[in-house]
Amino acid sequence: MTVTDVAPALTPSRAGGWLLASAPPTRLAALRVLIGSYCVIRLLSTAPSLVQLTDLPDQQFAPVGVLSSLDGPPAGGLVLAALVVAIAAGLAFVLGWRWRVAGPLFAVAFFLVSTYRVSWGHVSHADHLPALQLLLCGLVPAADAWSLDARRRRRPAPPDGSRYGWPIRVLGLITVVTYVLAGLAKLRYGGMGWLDGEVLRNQVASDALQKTLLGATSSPLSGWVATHGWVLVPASVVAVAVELAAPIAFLRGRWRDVWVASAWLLHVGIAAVMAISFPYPLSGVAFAPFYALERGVVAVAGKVGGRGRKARADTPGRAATKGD
Amino acid sequence: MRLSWRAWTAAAVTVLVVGAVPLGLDRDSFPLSTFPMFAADIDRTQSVDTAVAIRADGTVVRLTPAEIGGTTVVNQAASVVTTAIVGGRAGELCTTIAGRVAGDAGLVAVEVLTERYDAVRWFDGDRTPVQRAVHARCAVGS
Repeated sequence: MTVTDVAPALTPSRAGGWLLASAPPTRLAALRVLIGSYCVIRLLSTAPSLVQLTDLPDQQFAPVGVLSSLDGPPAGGLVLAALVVAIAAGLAFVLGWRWRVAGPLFAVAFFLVSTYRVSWGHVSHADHLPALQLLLCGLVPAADAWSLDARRRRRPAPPDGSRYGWPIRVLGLITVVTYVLAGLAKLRYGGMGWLDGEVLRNQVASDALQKTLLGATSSPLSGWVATHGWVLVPASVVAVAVELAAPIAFLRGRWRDVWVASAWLLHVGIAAVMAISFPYPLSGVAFAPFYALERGVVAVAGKVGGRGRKARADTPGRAATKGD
Repeated sequence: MRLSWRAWTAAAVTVLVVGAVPLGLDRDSFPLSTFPMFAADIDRTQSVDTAVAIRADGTVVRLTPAEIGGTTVVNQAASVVTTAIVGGRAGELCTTIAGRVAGDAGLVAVEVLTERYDAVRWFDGDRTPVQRAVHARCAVGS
């Protein structure tokens, strides 16, 4: 039995079977490469705005999370050093090099840099999920396959096992929990007003107004949506339903695919109407733990390899070279 | 057995710490959060702390987040203005912004202000502010 082939569990013993389902080491390795690559690209692409933060007045510093006990912002040089360490550790993480050090180091460095980023008066929610998943991914045997460490050991690939299955389940669980929380928050803070579209209309209009008054670009759709609030009635209901239905992602086949597509489209809609992007789910990486990624990798590699072999075989003079 | 314990601990931590704790504490932090994006039941009339530049003929010029708050992130720029107003440093921020826009010859002044609009009516074409409070005004290039 593999992770994606297991039906949802209802009893404690079946829950155990579900959580401890066997998976190949390559599946966890594929998640390591995907989540790690996303986080390295995220650090590189947001480095300029991170550097800008070091120039803000100290009074602006409003530390959150593990930085809450700080009286003032850390020195700019320290922040830059942490960023450099995070990127270097991230590359080692993706390559699976010196995993026992690189895994935890990148997870902690990304976590600290992201905490610093949201410690300036506005907690954006783009990095919560990748940071949480990275903290788990960096502490599990995600470099037992498709890694420089595995290549150095020159041993046959380890067999499938629960030790590769449960981290994948928990990575998926983190995605599910965050979506359910977002759905609950809408009902908790917005109440029934959220479901009749009024809260969402006011959110869209206010966000676009703030962007306009602060000289930023707002979506060309936001004004139309704000003045045609009826379109937000079904959108609000669907948004909450999709978020609360996140556990469906653990079902196999079409149910899972429909939920993932719905959640992804939800983010596409937010980006189109509010010009607010959540790059982690938009890139699809947030949903990767629900799929047997290694099969796709092997299939693509097989096609590329086959094409390469065919190309080499078709190359004029190949036969002569072969005979040399 | 050890593997099973690890797996159950990780799953329990995820559900309890990532899920239940933020819900119980009702706190939006990092990395634990209630994920309250777009959830608050806000009024359609909104106050926005911002800064604008003024031309010699009195017309208002909208500034960018980088000019206002020294950051390209809109919410952080807004936070810079709000923190300055609340902390009684609107004049100081005004001077900083005036320095940033000093290269634009057409601008004569900067204002740090709170503007209040009906956000829905704004997009219907009614751009009359419900309220406009100037916290600081300073000359550009002085």
